[in-house]
Amino acid sequence: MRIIQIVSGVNFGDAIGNHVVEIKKRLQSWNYATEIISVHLDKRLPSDTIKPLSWIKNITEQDIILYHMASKTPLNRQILELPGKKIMMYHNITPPSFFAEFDYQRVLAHREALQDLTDMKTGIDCCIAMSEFNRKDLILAGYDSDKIKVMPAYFIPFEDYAQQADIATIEKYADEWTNILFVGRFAPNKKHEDIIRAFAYYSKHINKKSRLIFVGSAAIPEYRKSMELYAQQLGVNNVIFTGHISFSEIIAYYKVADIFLCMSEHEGFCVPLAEAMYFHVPIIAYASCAIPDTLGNAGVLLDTKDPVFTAMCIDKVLTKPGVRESIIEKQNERLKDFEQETVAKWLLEYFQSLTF
Amino acid sequence: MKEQNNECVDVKKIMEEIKAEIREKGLINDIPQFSAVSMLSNYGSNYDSRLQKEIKYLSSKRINYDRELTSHKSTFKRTVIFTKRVIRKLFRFIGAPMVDEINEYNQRVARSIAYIDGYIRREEEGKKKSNEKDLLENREYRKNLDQCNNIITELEEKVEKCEQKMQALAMLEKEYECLRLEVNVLKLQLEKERLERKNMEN
Repeated sequence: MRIIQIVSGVNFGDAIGNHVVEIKKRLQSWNYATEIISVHLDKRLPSDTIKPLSWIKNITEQDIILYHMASKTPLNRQILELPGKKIMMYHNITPPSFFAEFDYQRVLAHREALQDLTDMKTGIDCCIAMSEFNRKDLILAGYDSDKIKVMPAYFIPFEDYAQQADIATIEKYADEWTNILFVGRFAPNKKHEDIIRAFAYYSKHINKKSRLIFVGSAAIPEYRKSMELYAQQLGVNNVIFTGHISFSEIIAYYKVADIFLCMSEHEGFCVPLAEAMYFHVPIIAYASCAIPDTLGNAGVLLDTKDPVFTAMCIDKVLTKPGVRESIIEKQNERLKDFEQETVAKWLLEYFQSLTF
Repeated sequence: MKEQNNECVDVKKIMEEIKAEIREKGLINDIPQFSAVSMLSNYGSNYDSRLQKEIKYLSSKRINYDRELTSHKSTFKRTVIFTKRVIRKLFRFIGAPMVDEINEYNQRVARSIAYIDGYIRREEEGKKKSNEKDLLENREYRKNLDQCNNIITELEEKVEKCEQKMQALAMLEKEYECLRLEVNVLKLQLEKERLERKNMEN
């Protein structure tokens, strides 16, 4: 029996890419025969890591397919025709309505992806959801709740974060100013506008010596552009849009951050939260989607997006004695659940428990 | 020690305190929403012009059943065109009403889109005005609140000064009362001494 992971794209350094590659390493260490098949190959990955789509013909009835579902792709239909048992690892699909104002092609693609998800339920033997929120999504799509297991976390390569941070970035931003950070690509579900709004109040009424740093590429350029315009229209000058940057620069931004502020309204897991925990940055996040699951008892969960309230929360975390330390302490506790060994133990037990 | 301090910090309680503080101080959000300003962005205006272009095309485009017939063949060109004309005439009773219906349908679609566009514009305009009004009202409210607060502070200061004066006067009053009593006692003593002297003289 082999375990074949099928994924539409494996990108070097992204959350799903790291996860898929680490699953392969772990499976090999447990003496499972395993391969990754992907349509898009990232040249930065070792050549023997990923097999091209043509390798799909080697799959037999004895194999287990671990299919990574995250978007609209012809693979969604193709895998149902393949022999072997099928496990879907569900990474979540953002509801199309988020993109309506900015990218109609994406609306169509996400609508079709959700349709695929519903249609695939008869051909999938069991599912792994990447959070409790994802599990609920699958149940809504008609999947049998008994056949869904929730994985504790992604395989996050924390050892990579120990590398040298970009010195120039640290020198530039490690000053007496307060740095509020958000890491995530520019997509409308991430609600950068709500972060800008809260920051506008904070910098105007509470702390003028503060800056907002957005780390992330422009997944939807129109959205990113409109965020820049929104900041301009509010007269907020200290907003930094880094664009796509190197890994050492990302580390540097985490190191100079005083607060990690997240207002996202749709996340399947939100790996940057775990990264912020790793860098001991106190998290303030709006309680929606998978965010409360990921934070557990840690961080500060907001039940409203009111900018006054958010700004005052930032102020209290930074100025009230003991608050910051207490949050970081709880975050450190939560971070233990995301350790690779914990995730690996769960995965091994999962595969051992399979009865087919 | 530090750990003990940390354990005492209750984030939920702090959040409740913040909410109470906002209510107490009457802090108001004066930052407009993204939806209220996004329509002013360049992206929005591009989007509008693209939509207008499409509506214009839909409104102006009409399918013509009697459009000019052509043929790519150099030889028999006239024969081909003549045959096409005959076929078109033969099928006019089916084709012409269909084309009319398609034209009517297209026009209605164009009108519907224009209505929707108009509706969205009106809604956005209304939303924008309402946001601006809210913002102005907020500012006005804040201004009035600030004025009220200033008056209250001034009055409080005056009351405090008057109370201080009253306290001083009360002290003086007490002192006056004491002196009055002392004078009375002294007067009585004086009277008594005078009476005694008179008795002695007699």
